[in-house]
Amino acid sequence: MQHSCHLAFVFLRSPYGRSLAADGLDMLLATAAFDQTVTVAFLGPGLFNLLPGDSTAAGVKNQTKGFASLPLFDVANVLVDERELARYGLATDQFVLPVTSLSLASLREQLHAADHIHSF
Amino acid sequence: MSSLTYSLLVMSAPFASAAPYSAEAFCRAVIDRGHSVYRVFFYHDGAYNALATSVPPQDAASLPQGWRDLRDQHGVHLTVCIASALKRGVVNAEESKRYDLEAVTLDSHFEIAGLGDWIEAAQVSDRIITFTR
Repeated sequence: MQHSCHLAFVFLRSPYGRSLAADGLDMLLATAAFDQTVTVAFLGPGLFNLLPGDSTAAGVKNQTKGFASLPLFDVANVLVDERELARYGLATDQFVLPVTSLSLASLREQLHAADHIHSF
Repeated sequence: MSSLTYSLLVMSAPFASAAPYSAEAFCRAVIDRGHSVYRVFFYHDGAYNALATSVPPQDAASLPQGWRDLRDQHGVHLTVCIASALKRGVVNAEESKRYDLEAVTLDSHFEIAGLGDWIEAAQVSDRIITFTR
């Protein structure tokens, strides 16, 4: 690895309907494991990745447990849009990891500070 | 105007979506304008772009040939994530033998590798563009 990079990961889609969020999580964990600086945002239906997973239909691997381990990988900058919490009927104490709730403008500023943005 | 290095993340399959066609056309446009494409990383359903065994309909442009030309003519690395590839049956000779499978399905212009190759591409590229449906 030549130099350190600041990468942002944005989760837009809920889990299970499509497996993109699960693959996004794998990429996020690999990036954190390679010691890169990471910012993560959960937007819109992406917020549902933060809820504790209940048992899934037989044959479908759990897709959300891994999000709870982000702090173990030193991923602390986890952002959500404060207006969307009300819109989706969610509260941050329901989530499996600590998040920072921001205005969309502030959230956008943080994403722009990254070298690259990946969205899933 | 200075030359930029691009890398692309392709996460959709041919025919299911226009995204990989846009990705291939984008590569050619970037190169035509004097920039370079370092790596195209095929992740999630994008792994299907690497199939040697796909038979496009006769009246459709051949996206597989487009990717092969980018590799042969411009040295663009075409890299498929091993996790995405295996679960979709996109296997080279080594993986096919390892899992005792009946076929080798990976096109020879593509290489199978891990997420580390994508993280490296993100570090060395000026621009990352993602193509998803």
